[in-house]
Amino acid sequence: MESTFKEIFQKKNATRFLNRHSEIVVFFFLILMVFVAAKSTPLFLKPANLTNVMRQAASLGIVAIGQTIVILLAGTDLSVSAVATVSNVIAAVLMMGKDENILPAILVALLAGIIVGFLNGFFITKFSLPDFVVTLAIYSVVNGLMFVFTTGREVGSVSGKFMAFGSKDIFSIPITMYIWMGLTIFAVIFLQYTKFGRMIYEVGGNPESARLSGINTSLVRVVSYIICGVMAAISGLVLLSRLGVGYPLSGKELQLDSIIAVVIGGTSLNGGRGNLLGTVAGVLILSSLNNIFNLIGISTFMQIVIKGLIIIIVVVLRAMNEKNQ
Amino acid sequence: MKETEIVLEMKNVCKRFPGVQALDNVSFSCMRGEVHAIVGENGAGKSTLMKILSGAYIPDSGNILIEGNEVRIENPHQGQELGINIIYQEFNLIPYTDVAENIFIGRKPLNNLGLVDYKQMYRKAQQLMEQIGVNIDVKKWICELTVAEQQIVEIIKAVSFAAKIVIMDEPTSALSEEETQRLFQIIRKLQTQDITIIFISHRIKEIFEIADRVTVIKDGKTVVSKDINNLDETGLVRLMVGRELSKLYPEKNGKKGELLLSVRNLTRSGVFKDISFDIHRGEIIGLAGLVGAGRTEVARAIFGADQIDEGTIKFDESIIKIKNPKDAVTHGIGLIPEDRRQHGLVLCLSIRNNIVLSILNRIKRFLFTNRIKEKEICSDLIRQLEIKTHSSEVEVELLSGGNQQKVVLSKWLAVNPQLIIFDEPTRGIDVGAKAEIHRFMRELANKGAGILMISSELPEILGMSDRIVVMCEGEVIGIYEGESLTEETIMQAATGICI
Amino acid sequence: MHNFPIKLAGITGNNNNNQFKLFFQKYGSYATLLILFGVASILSPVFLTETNIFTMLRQATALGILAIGQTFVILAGGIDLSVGSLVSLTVVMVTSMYQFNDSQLIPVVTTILGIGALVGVTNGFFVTKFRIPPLVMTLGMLTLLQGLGLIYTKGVPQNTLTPLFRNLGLGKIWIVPIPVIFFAGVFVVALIILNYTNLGKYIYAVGGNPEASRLSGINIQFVTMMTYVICGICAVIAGFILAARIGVGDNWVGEGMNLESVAAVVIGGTSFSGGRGGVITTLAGVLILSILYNLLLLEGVVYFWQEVVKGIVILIGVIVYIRGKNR
Repeated sequence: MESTFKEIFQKKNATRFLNRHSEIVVFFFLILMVFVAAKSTPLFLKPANLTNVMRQAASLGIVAIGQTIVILLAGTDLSVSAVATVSNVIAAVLMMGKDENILPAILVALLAGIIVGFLNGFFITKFSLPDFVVTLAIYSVVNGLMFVFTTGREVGSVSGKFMAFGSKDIFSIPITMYIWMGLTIFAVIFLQYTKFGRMIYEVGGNPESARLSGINTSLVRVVSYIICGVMAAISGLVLLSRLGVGYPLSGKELQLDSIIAVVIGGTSLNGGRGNLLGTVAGVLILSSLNNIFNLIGISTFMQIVIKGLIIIIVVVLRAMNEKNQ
Repeated sequence: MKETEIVLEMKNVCKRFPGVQALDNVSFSCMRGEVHAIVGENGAGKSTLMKILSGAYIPDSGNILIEGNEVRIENPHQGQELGINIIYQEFNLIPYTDVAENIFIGRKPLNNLGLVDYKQMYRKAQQLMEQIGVNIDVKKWICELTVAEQQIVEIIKAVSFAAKIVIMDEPTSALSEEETQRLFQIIRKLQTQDITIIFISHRIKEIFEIADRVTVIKDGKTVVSKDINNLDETGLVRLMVGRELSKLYPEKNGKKGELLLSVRNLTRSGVFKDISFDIHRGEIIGLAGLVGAGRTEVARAIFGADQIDEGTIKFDESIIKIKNPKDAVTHGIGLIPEDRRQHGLVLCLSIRNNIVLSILNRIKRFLFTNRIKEKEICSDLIRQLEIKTHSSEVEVELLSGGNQQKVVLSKWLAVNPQLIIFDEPTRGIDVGAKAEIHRFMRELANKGAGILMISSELPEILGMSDRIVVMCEGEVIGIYEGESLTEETIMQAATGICI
Repeated sequence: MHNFPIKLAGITGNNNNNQFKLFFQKYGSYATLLILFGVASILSPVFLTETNIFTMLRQATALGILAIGQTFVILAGGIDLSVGSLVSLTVVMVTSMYQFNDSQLIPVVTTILGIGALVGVTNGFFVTKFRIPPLVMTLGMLTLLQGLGLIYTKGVPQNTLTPLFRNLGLGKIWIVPIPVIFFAGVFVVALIILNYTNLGKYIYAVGGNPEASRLSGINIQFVTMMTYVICGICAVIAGFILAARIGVGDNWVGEGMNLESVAAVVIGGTSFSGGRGGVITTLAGVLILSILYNLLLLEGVVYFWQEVVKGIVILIGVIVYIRGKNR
């Protein structure tokens, strides 16, 4: 953060702090929800269950990192689920169960993420097209290609070593969780402490001013979409390590869930404000919610309804909040 | 002020736009460390001049010399490198980032690891603050600052670029008296650092307070450059406006009809206060004042486009409540907005569809549009206003500025309003079309309508209005008619002499 | 900005050139359609047969009606991505409420139409009163409706339609399939609304320049809301026809249709920024997509390629459109 904790407490301006770090409110809700969940069912707090939640959260969380960056630029990336699927399928097919193929498989999967991200950024900046149209179209194309390629079935297979990534825990925390946290830390440093990271906030906050100050806004945008693509690709690999095979429907929920998590976490859809900590909280809330629903026995159908309601409520609240400022 | 050294010189700079010579052989020079005011009424050429200095426009001819060397400024970055920094009225700041980051946008100090060195950034920002003698918390977000404080951040940005010349465009228009004084303190501090300030304004009082020398620009030409000590306020005003009032305007109407509109104590907090005046049928009331005086806001409030906090509007003797433009149209009030492209027309629609937009309800048959009546009304108005087009189905986007304005006018004529508000009706329009619109306005008034005209062109407002309401800083300064309708009186009322 | 001089509007220079560009924008999609038609006829001998053409048209109906509704929303400057799940919801509701009972026809149809209108009002309300971006609002509504549909069926698709109702989707009058007649009906009504009513003119105005429309006395919130209502109703009608055709309450039937309806509108030539386009060009867009699918089918191309084609076509359509707009 910009100030050390000592300085924070020395500042008398509590409201300013809260305003700037709205993710605190989100974490509060997270804790509240955990509390409610624990009360409703003893199953929630069982270590095995929590581990499960973390596993789910990891794959969503990694995508959400990239999505946060794109949304900070006032954009949206609707192609993330397709990228996760591509990465998943390609890596599985290239690996074919052999350990020595792990590295090339991973590299090609990441490359796919880079390419799709680049295409997104390119079409959006070069032709000044609305981002949701471009990413939606690319989602469609890539998804379709995957269906054609896999004919809707599972393909490929992973090697033992790779599978271990997905199933092993260290101190009963899944390895994938560590990967998510590690990536988040890198991303936080990136956004907060690198010149480029600050440019993302500047372009998102006031693109015209940023441009007039000499910042290459197109470059910032393209790179951000590439980062998002890579994150989605990594998430696809994480999914692969759990599933064991390439499956074209693997990343389906990531598309909307990643956006919901980012929005819940406090990042504004208009760009320029928000941070990854809020997104982390949002991801945890969403994953816990899914988990609690399953534990209590709420039908998948009802879950979808509630999710829809949550989106609407959160967005309305944020819109009202932003109107007041 | 140190040795008198000329730091900026403009020689015979000319700039022409289609239909108008914006700058005609403008020449002046600034000394190092002086505050040089550039004054002139709206449209005199001040902003064009500024844009040339900032690199947004390139002059057609003439030279610009900085510290004796001739330069070509082709874009804002070049200008910055040469030491010229401009602070516009709309600031170039990122709202959800702090002051220090805004100052160093795109060029943050890095540490050994290549990461942003926040400590150093805040320290440097603090230093710059002290350099100009201000104390704003550099960690505050821009959106947490007042307008005056944001302006100071812009100034610091300029100083951080080692500016030699800082150009301020109407810097005090959004500031309170106190904040203005603080700004002046900062300016004086900058002077001690040999920075030249070019201060563009038409607030006479302030100019006399802060400027060392002043250059008057009128109709694109330099009138004079003088030491401020050799002038007084009235003298300056006279230099700004003295010209022949030509007989280019239609005959005024001696008779005043019945009372049509009566506004009393209209107030919108922070924007305008206690606005009261009357409009009679057959009258053209001019609403004069400087940019930012609140004229457009008052007009929009009467029209229902913006809200009113207090005050009453009486129309034809009865008090009415106008909550939105629809109400206004129903009562017979029309508004021809300042920006016809953004607010007056739907550019992708045809002439016909634009013209009938406000009266569709009136002429419909059951649920359907009345195409015959539409075409009738349309061709009638095209003829009346002499709109140059071969068909009413042409998209208005393709028309010239004058014709576009006529389409906007037609739309409101179709409504057959009792009161029409014109906001800068002939801005950016060629002389021929201007005269036609003027003639038409007078005809409307003669037929019994009441007209409220906002204009920043003094000759126009004097030539057209039967009475003039002058606003300044959101309040009505006075209502003038008859003998007192002179450029000097109006200008004096509108400018700094009213503070 | 009070700059002098203001950027002066383009002086009517090359009027002819501009007229051509406008013409192309409006009817370029028909040119594409004709070319595609020609290509298809050449590539496949089966294409031009009566059975094929009418089957193709029958299958295009649901998408077509959906696209017509979507046109209204996009013309006013918005977008409705919840239409697909509204279609699904309609399908599951009608297939289970019908109960093999033809006297249920009117109550069932009216109820579901009411629901469609309600969805439209809700979408419109949040978009206009709370200024929520339509993309976000309708995506939320999409999830909500999808979920409601699933709860309604509890995962068990119903099948309680009568032959009379199913005739709506499967039958024909003379040689024309009934769905196509409905489509034509909806098309004509939409055409009339857009070109011959005040609402239509208001929709174009609000889409073209909302602020100028407001300052002309138009109630832009009402107009916008109406477009979402019309879109909702069209989605319901499309749902009825689809239900009649497939006969069973499939929860996922409308899934791809969100994107498809937008694609048809955009390919046809209606601009996302609003104010330009109309149902005539959307019709071309729908036909283009239908011929493409039909062609792929006839050539024996795997079904999944359609997704790919769709995506590419949207991209190209949007690029060409935006380029045409930035004169």
